[in-house]
Amino acid sequence: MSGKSAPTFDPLIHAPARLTLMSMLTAVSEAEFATIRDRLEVSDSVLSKHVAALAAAGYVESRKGVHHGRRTTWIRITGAGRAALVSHVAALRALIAQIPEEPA
Amino acid sequence: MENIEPVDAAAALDASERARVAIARSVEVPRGHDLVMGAAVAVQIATMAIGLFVPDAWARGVLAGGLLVFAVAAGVELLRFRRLNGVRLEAFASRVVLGTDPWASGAYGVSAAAAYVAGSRDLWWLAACLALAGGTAYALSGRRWMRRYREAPERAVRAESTLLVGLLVVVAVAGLVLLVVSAR
Repeated sequence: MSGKSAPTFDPLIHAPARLTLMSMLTAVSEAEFATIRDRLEVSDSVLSKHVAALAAAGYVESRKGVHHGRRTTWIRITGAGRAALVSHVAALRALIAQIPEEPA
Repeated sequence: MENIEPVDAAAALDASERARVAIARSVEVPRGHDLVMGAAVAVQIATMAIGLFVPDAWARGVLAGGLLVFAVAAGVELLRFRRLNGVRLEAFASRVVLGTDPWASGAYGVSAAAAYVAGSRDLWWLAACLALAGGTAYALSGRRWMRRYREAPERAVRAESTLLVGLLVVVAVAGLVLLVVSAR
């Protein structure tokens, strides 16, 4: 027994934009709202909805701050969010492993 | 889960991985950062040696000035980094700017100790060279950390806790105060 819990598919993270958002946040301590919006290529309102849903689950945290002299929002992934992402990615990898290899 | 095709799962994973790598690779160091931090560290090492071994009152001011130069340079560079990238990296702050990376702290420690010894023997030209070498090594260790971050952001992004960094700063300042007192 490894002691680790089984990989869990998380429907809250599975939407492509949310999975990408969570993955990006693992590469930084905190990212500014417009930076994420531009990278995801979504509108302000769409990103706000994703962030609100993830924040409600405790997967991300947001705080008000300043960037280039303008008030903005900074977003970071939480420990719970990181754990959920790891588990979700493991579940996806397990699913991918089911693809039969093509015969040579 | 049964509604998800393995091909879709692979595509989603691939896209998220590419986005993570892309944001890490897009992170830039502000123009002139190496020069600013290297010079600030060199000034701090040199002024520390002067402050510890020149018995005049002005030398205390020089020592305090060196610390101030480093603090201002560190603050400005962190601000520039955040403005430039739209992201904050705690590990950049601690390892690159404050020098908790083993290479940076090692280079600083060795060059500061050597400059201290050179100053105690009135070899001020040597102390200046050692301070420059320390600043250069400090800046190069920052470049090394950035390369590691871009290669494996999920590992490099982890920083020391704020408590640990705070304790290190307190220990460093206390050590400097003790050196100043014992040098009197």
